[in-house]
Amino acid sequence: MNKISFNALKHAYRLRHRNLKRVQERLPTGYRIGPRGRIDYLRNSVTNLFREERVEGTWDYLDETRGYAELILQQSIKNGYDHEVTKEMVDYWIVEKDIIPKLFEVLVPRFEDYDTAYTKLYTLPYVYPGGPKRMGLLELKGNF
Amino acid sequence: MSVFRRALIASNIRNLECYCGVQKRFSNTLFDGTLEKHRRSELSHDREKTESFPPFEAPKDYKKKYPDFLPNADWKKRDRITEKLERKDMLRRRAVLNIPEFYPGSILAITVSDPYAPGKYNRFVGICIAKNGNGLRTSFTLRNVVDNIGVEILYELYNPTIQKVEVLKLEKRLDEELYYLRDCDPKYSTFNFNMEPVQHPPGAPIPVNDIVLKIGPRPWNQKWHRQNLKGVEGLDEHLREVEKKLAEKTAEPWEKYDIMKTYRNSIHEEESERILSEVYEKNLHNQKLKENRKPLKMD
Amino acid sequence: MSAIQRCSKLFSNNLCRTIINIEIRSSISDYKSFAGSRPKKVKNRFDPPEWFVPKKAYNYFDNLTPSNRDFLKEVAYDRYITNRESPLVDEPIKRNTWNPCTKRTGVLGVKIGVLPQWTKDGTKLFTTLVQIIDNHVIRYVPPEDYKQSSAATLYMKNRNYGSVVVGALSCYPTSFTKSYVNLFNEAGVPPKRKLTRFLVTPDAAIEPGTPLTAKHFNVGDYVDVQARTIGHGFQGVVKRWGFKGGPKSHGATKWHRRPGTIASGGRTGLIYKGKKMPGKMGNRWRNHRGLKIWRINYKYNVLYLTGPATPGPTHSYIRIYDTILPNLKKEMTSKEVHPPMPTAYPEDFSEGLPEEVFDDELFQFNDPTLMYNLDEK
Repeated sequence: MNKISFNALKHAYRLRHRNLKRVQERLPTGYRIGPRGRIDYLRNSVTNLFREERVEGTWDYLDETRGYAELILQQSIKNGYDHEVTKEMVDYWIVEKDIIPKLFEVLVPRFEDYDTAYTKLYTLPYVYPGGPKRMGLLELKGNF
Repeated sequence: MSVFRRALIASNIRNLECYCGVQKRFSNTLFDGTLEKHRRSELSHDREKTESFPPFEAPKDYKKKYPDFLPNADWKKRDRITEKLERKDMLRRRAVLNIPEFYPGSILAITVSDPYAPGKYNRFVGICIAKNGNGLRTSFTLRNVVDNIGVEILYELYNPTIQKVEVLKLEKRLDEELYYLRDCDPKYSTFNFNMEPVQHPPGAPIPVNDIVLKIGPRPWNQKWHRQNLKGVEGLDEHLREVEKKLAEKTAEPWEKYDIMKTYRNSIHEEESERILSEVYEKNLHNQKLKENRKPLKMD
Repeated sequence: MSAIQRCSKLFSNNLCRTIINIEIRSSISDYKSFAGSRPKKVKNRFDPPEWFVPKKAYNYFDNLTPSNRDFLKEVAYDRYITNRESPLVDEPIKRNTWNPCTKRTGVLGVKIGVLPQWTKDGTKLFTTLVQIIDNHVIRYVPPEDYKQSSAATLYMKNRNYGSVVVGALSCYPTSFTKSYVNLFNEAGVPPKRKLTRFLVTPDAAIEPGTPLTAKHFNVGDYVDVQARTIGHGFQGVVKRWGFKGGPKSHGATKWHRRPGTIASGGRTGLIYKGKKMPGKMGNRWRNHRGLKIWRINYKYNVLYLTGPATPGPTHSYIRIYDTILPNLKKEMTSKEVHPPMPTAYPEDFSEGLPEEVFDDELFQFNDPTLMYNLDEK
């Protein structure tokens, strides 16, 4: 993946990644802790985003998925499925394989002419009497 | 103008440092966005004049030919004006000394002025093992075997004592770092000092040497079985089962696919285009000066 | 029920309540003094000193339209730049000559980065770049008045020092309080983000309102630097003081990074003051003395100083002023060109300035490659 040439991201991204420390049960894919667990978690959330197009959850974890989702869309718009590097990347990041045709047939033509970011992250209001966790809503633009 | 706009936006986005909780390090410091605002504000008596950006777009070779000009992507140490002044010095040096393009795997000959050598200069020929750094700190190591002793020398590209850089053979290898030559047969790292240069037609793609070498016996300089090397084979013969298992355990195959990490450690295309178009403009300017120079009249 | 609650039931008027509170508080203080040796002040209350001026204005309910906000900026621009009253109301200050006993003002800069440079011998050295953005002199206090102020110590009183306040990075006055903005009326200058003070001999008196730039220094001069170091937070003893700790294996139970013994036991019966222990590391003022200026860029007001080790991270403030080291001062006096007193004015540079000036020993990248002479050994 060192041979990818990235274009600039158009949303405000953090300059350091977050260590997602949430310990959960083991998945059939294997681990759920540490840097490997972090990427396994993000793979699942990115595929969920592309399937549902609108996801609710904790704001920090959605902020992390947003960067990866935008980069995947950016590269697939630029190169297409026939490119070696994007093929490898998409095959890894999208866990459920019936969404890959959806990516290239539905989402790529929708976002081809966009100058802005492809996703938007909203903050939801605090629900009494819940704790101080900030909940968010991540959606792909143009999902009706 | 949109290119410059986006770079400004990226600099303003660094105000998110307040979310990171790292303010203990920044008690006496400024955010990047505020500094840039003050450099261009109307109220200052030292107002920086907005420079016009060059209208040219650099050709696509330039990112591979001049990777020195792209700065280090560590956001804690970046500043627009240090990079500008660094690039000026680099271009001035390149106007005096011709630095051709080369990659790890190509064979170079370098003459360096040395106060302790006879004739006050020293010439060394070798294969480039690694190329590190950016800006004025770019460095590369050359390896050769002289009198059955392996010799590696580290040179700095912009050191003023370098008189000449010749590329005897331009090629690439399967890896970007060839430190494994230390443990291979020395015949693969010997190169004749009087080697004749192999001509490379300009504009042609760079040839890739597909050699796969066989590694020598243990002890090794580094743990080659833990680095995913393609130019070396025969590692499994020298390994014990315990070491093979440890290598599988410590391997991190997911890091290859961590896109945001590579994005944060690299410079995106818009900014690199802006930087390299400045280099292209300066090169064109130098070329025009050479063409317009009239020939000397010999009487 | 407390005393205040009891009284408020009798008097429901707010006015009466305030009077009651004051009386009750005084009575409580008497009670406390009667009870024994207790302090009269309330514990942990911070009364700011007389000279303190609150700086930031928190305009929570501003609700200005964008056009009104731009109008305020135009007003500030007109006030400070177009209609600026000339500071030459009084006679201009006398410009004296430099001698090694004078102390000139310093300058507030911002650390930008680190670059390598080479000398004409071929040796490599690292240089820090410091940019001087938008500095103005804001106030000059002559030594007779400064001695009577509360900030002056014995050291300053025994020597004849005046004080100069320098500010950097001018801002629009909407973000500051009125009392802070009024500090800058004397100078006629927009309010600044950061202020410092430099001690100065009365030779080098400056008028408030003069701008300071990189022309204040000459190439080849020596300079002292003060800044806050990088802050590492609460650190343990191994990182903070370089203790060795303990073994990582061979049966060491829970003793890998601890200090070990602290004191000698029963002999002294106490721990000495200044014992090295864990604590907050970094973020302290430190001085680096005797740094040489190798190169100056007048277009961007950038100085190149020796060493990569000036304190602080990038984009941090730095105080810069002439050295106090005597041997380096001797070198400065033996030169032909002395530093400009009290600063460099634009009259001195009527002919024009080059963009960059280099030291004699520094290699300029325009020059041909370095070659050593065959005659020399």
